[in-house]
Amino acid sequence: MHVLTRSFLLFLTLWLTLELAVRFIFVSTMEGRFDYGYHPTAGFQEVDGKVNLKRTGGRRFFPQSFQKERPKDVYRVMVVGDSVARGTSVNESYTGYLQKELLAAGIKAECLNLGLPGFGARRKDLVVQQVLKYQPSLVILHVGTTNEYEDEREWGKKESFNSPHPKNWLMRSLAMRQVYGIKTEKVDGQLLPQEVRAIGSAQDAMTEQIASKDPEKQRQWTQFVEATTRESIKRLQDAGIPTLIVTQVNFEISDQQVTLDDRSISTWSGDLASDKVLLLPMKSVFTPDQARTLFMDSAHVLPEGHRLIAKSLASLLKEKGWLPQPLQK
Amino acid sequence: MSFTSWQYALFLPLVVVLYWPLPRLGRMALLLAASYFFYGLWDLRFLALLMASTGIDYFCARSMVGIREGRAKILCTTLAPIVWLGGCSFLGQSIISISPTSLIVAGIFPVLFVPMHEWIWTWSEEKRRRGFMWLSVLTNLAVLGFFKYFGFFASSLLNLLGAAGIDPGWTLPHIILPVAVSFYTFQSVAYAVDVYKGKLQPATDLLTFSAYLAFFPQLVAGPIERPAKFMPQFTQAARWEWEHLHAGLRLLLIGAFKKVFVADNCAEIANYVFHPDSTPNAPWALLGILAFAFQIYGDFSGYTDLARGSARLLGINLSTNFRFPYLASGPSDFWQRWHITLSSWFRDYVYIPLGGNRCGPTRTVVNLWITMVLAGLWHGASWTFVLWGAYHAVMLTAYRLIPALGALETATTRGKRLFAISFMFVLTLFGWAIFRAQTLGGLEHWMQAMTIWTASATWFRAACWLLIHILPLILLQIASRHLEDESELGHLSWWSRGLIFFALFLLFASSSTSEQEFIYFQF
Repeated sequence: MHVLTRSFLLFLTLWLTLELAVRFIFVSTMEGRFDYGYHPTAGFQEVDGKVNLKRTGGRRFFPQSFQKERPKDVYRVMVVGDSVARGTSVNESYTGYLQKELLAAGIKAECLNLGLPGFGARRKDLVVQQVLKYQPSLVILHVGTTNEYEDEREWGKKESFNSPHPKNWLMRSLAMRQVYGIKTEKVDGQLLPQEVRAIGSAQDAMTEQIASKDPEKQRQWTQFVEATTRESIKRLQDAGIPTLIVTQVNFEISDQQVTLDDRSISTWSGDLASDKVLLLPMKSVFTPDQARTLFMDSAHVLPEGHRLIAKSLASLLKEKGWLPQPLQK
Repeated sequence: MSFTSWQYALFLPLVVVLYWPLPRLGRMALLLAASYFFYGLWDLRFLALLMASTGIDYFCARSMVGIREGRAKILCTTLAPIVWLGGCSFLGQSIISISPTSLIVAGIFPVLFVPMHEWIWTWSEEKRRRGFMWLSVLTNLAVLGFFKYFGFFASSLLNLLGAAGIDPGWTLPHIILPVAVSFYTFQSVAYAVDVYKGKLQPATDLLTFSAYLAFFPQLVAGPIERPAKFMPQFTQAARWEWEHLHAGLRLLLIGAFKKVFVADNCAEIANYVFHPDSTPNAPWALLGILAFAFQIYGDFSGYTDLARGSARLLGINLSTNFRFPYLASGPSDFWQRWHITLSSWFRDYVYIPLGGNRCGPTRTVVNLWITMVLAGLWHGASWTFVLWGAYHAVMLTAYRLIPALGALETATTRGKRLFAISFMFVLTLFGWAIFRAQTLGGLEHWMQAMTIWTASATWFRAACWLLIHILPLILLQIASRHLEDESELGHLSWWSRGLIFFALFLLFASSSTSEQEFIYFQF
């Protein structure tokens, strides 16, 4: 009897083969895995002068493509935001509706939806930094305060995973990461119903709820959103990119009374407006009565709500004279 | 420290590497320290209980065979719990709180035990032997009874009095159930009884006995070992063989796969169906119970394989606890395949002493019922576990009294056997519904769901998902087909084993970032 049996050697050979295969065949899709959206370039895949937005590395972009170098006659609008800005599809988000509005106005517009579910100020800022590389004509930054818990939690996961902690040793293997990714994203993500997963994540939801009710935590998050948003805006201004801020509003109903609450964003976002920074509070787009039929929950709006936001955006851009001249018909 | 945690992945190799170069007593000292460290990570306070149990069992067993230990040694040993608790209280105030009651009980322990030990020694030989046996057995059962069942029976009594309009005004203390107490007390009882019956010589030294009782691979959830088979592996030093490493790693891999891939994933569906806020229909209720059947099997047999693999790396063989339980052809067959060490314990230490099947059919049925209700109650202090035990008693009784069922269980033709297995599987599933429900209200919730036959848009996807997590286990079982040990793959060619190991490892890695507690740790 020897220390290494033939079956064990076969096991090691298979692992090594898979590891090499993953490294050389799948390496482009491994980027940012276990960075939970904090990897700088995850989701932006550059191939032959084109950029593909991919669902990877904790960034669940809607699949979209655009030229790395913006053609001179194209008005490129990049919308950076969370699940509210993302909507249910590119076409039914305000990005898609804005593109239709602009095209109808004769502008050769290319509107890209970079909304990512659960992204708070910190992770949106990372997307903004990436966006700077692709010469946007306009960046629309959707600002809200409801995702800071998730940002913090995912930061903790990223830090934990990228530490030399022994619990992460197995996932240092790219092959094992790929297998884990396939299982969680393809098998669980596509087959396990949402209601089943919700029970499994009930504890996490509870923790979020408790944290959200803590006024001190709320105050810290609001301050953090403000500071980070200012940084994002400064980055865009330093690069000379016109910016439009859409501020989130939350739909609340109590005793049949509807209120639209922007969680104090308006108290500081006004300072950010300038000749190169426009502001569109969602609060100004809908009346509370309209909101009853436009919100699907406390934060997310239905496609009709997205259409109204897009209309307001187009009007504002036109009013401020930010839109390029329409193409000659 | 769970067997599937990263801490254990560091702890076990360290113990193994330190263990083999040592002489026997050195190994015992290492095992004791490692086991107490392993157990202490759950709750430092309960080590005192384990120390007390060790002292009682050791001295009682020695006394049963006429070996009288010195008073100073007994006193020092019985003082260990109070010294431990006092030390924890003094040095670890910031991390653990020791109640004054615990300190008083630990302080009283030597005051009671030492004089009682001396007093029993004044009895005549046969009476003394029986006296020490009962002292050991009753003390262990009292510990189990108090920690596990006091709250349950007291609150049941309060509910009963409340229903009768009587309010005694009692406030029940909150008693925490020590991890592993159900397992090591049963092993202690078996030790006392076997020494009394002369089946086993008591341990020659306290160190070996302490290491034996606290042996970390099987301390928390078994297998409940028989002293006659288990103790000699401690009193004789094992010799290193590469086979220990190969078999140990194979068992660890299979156990980790069963726990992490099969059980923890199946738990997602079972937890959803049995969640108080969910509103499943009948197809979901069936899916939930199927998921739980594989969850509990993967969880407990996975734990057993991990325990056996860990022990094997230390040159110690633990008993098999499962033999393809869902291929049982009847309830009697089921209990020879499911949690074998527990069912054989109840057979040898409860059913047979009650008279077994030697006292006529009526008495046999009564004995069956007593045994199965106690076995149900052993799993937890809840009426659903009592009901589960009774449900199995009903099955055992029916298969014994109805000739057609009895014949079905022992059928040898392929068609009949297949039917018997399928029928028993359905019966087992219903039993798991009682087991999983946790409360009678939960069981009612599940049974109500079984009456709602509506279509569900997501059911088929969930069923496919569940199948993906069950199928590899079924294939593994088909590949093993070893009647005595379902984790044995030695009969396969080396390349088949290599492929199976790799597949199991990939499946384990695919689900390895979430870590859930083993179900049987709560028992």
